[in-house]
Amino acid sequence: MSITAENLTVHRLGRPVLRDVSLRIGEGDCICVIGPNGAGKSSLMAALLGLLPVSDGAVLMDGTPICRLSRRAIARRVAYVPQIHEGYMGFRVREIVESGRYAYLDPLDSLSEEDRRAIGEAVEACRIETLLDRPLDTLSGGERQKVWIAAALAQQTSMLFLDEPTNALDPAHQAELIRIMRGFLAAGKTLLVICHDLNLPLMLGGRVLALREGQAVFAGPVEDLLDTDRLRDIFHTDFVTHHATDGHKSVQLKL
Amino acid sequence: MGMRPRYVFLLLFVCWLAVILATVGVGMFGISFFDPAIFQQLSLPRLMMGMLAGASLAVAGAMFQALFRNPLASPYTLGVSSGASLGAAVIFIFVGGGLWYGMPLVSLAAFAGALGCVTLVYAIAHSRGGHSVGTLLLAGIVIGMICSALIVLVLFLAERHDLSAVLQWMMGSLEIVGFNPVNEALAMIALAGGLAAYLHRDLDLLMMGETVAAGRGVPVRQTRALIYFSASLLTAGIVAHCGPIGFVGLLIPHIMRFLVGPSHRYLLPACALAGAAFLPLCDLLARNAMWWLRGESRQMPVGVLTNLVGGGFFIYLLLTRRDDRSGL
Repeated sequence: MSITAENLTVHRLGRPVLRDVSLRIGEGDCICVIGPNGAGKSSLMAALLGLLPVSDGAVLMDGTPICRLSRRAIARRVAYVPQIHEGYMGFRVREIVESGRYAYLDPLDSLSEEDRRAIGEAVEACRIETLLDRPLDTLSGGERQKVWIAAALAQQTSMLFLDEPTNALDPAHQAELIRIMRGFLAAGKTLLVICHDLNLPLMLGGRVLALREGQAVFAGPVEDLLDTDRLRDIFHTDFVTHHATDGHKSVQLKL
Repeated sequence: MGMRPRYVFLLLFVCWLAVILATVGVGMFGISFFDPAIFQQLSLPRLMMGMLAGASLAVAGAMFQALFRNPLASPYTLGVSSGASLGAAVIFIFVGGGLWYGMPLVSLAAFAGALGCVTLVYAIAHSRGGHSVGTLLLAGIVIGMICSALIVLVLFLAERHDLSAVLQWMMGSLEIVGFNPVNEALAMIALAGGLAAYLHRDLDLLMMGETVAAGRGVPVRQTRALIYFSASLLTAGIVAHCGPIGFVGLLIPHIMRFLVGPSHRYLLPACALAGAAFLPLCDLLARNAMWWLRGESRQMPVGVLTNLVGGGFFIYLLLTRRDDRSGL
């Protein structure tokens, strides 16, 4: 299972939001996409999922151009947790997680044993057992994020795309989500994560892709983020980095 | 929110039976529906049309509300009913009726009008940047007003003098004769209702948000087109015969969502059953109101009553909804 983007150029409302970006996501990879606001991170994720028309270049899923795959076929391989949820929030948590099985169900079928098992595993992995009968709009931001991730997990895909999963969450929920994501990696899943917090890639490991104004300005292992000159080139602001003897690494703004 | 769906359905079923019994028992202006000739030609078709119309408009309303994620969407408030009326009126007045490849022309024209209007309303709302409740509603109301004006223009140009019959139809009325209208409507509604059942999971997902839906495997564009198609068909099948009966499609989905929750697996059948009970009940009251109050045998169109009840409910929604995006 792999997704390859070759020299991807994408326009939105006539304006280029991605220019000539290439990326290969292979089995078991963990790739974090970083960059300033408006750099094209979310557009890249949408294009890799076939949700945005590509003006030049191609997205290949296991060698097949993504535009030739049905949405259902894509949803069985990649699950996606978008950043903004503009929908109706009156659904119960159970209904949201069950919606993850859409790609496996015929329209008039009810849930099978296998569907129920997948839902149960997803609920357990995200520890939302006690929330199942609550409407989504009564949950906190962190709880909601766990619910959306559980729904994506119920899709039983080997790849997960998460758009700013820890954004605007309190520290305890951030820690819990990072543990959940590490669990996915330990289970052999592939992750593509968009993040603003530069410490998230350092805690997940793997590789980073940095975008600026729609172009890839850096791609490499996360350890290379500890280079402050490189960070300044990406974000146009100064950073300090720590590399403690116990192996703990962190990045902070320098004012 | 949310009783066990099983009990809600039981309750709705009992209400539905009660309405049927009451309709047959009370009859109209003192004549019981037990008179066999009247029962065959007038009462039974009218009762069945009322049930079909209530069920269709309520289901269409639920579908439009999911499609636009907008609590105030319904066939009536989106101008879809008015569009269907215009289509039906043009054919009815200039051609008179007839068949086209075996399909009733008036119903086809109503469908074309409905589809045209919902497309126009969507295009107007979308060009102003998406799904604001206000813009969609204003677009729907304006298109509805334009269609009503065009209907009057058509009547004026055709120099028709039997305006009261047309006025009655434009107000929304279940006065039909014989089973032909029922059969015609049933054919369209069966097709659209089947599609609605087929799409129940897609409707849930579209309500959760389009990006979420696409990520789960919903082919969003085709699905939206199918929902437009079936909700317009449900509306047109009814409007062609009964005119634009207002607010059933707004009122019923709201109450049912409160009772069985937002999942369309339960919401759609609950709307169908509740609509099938609600509209014949309204018709029973409207039809006999003049008889009860003044001893006259004139009948009030059912649309007058649904507009009064629904209009009040609409104001209540305007005053209490939580926010512009998802206050469904």
